[in-house]
Amino acid sequence: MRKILPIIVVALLPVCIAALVALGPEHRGSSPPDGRLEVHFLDVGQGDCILLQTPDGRNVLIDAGDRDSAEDVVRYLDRHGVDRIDLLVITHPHMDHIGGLPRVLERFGVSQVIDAGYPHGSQTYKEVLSSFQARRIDYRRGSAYQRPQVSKSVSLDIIWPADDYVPSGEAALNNGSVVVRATYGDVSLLLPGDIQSEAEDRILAARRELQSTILKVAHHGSQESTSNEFLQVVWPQYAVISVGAENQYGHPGRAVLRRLNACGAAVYRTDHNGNIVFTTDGRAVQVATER
Amino acid sequence: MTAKKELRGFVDRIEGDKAVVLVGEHEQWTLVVAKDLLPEGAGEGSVLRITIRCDAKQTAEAAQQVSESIDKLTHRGDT
Repeated sequence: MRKILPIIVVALLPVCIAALVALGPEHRGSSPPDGRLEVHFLDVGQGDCILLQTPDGRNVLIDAGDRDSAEDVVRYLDRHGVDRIDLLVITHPHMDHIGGLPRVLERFGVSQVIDAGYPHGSQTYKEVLSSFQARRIDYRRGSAYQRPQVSKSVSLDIIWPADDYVPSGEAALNNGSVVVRATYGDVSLLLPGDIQSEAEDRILAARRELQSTILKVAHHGSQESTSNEFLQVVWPQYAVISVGAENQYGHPGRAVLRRLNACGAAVYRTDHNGNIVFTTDGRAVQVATER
Repeated sequence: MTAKKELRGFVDRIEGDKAVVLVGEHEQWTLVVAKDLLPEGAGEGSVLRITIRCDAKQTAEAAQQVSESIDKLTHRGDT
């Protein structure tokens, strides 16, 4: 047996090396290389799904796209070494933001959930909440001034909704979106869900720190969002529009594109660029797109 | 087979002048309709009952009209 063991080891060595080579650079665990933050805007068609992978190996998922893209989301997270979601943020419970969640929850464990927490009676949302309950997942409503502790190096601030905000009217859920700002060194990222001008005005009035290197353009570039006043304060270098090709809602609006161009932001769109990944060491920012 | 069927509809959201309605017990279909088609009082978050009914009289009338058109086209040279 003692003689056989070294032979087995020598025989298996090339197989192991070949397997490691075949896995490629994406199979490297959850932690981006060299202490960098990676921000992935997944191309989920008409919807939102954003993954933050922090330098200390934490995974933060903001929304999960519509139901049609659920398998793509799960495959993408698998490919990028996600083994657990440390924080899941549900900006609001519209289908184009939560449709992929049942499948994501089947596949991945989740440590903590921050949700807008509005009583939206869709079967999908009920299913998602039941899953949190059954798995005893730490669940809390998002509220301005919370600072979820997920990563030692990347700070997360909840900018909106305010405690006293009562959503009403046709755009109630959009305006009640949980808005997150992430900061890593000198680089910041604003993720405003689907807020429209009413919430933007309230956020501006609260005079929070909003200036951000990267802006996820609210509500797929809808013209009811991303007002000039809001942009003047956020003043992003990069803007990402998560939007479906030839969608029937007219997103993104031409006026929004004009406003983004006027403020000098480099605009990326998931319908044109596919998956979009920002990598930063906290100072410089690199962008990689699928196409 | 019954003459009419009922489905659950859920108004997931309003996108501009359109309403996005999730249809079926498992929300397996999505209908995007003009917002004005929603009944009075319905909006984001409303549960709808969608009735699908077969109109036998109009089915027969429509088939008859097309049949007459085809007859006219095929007998144009007869007179």
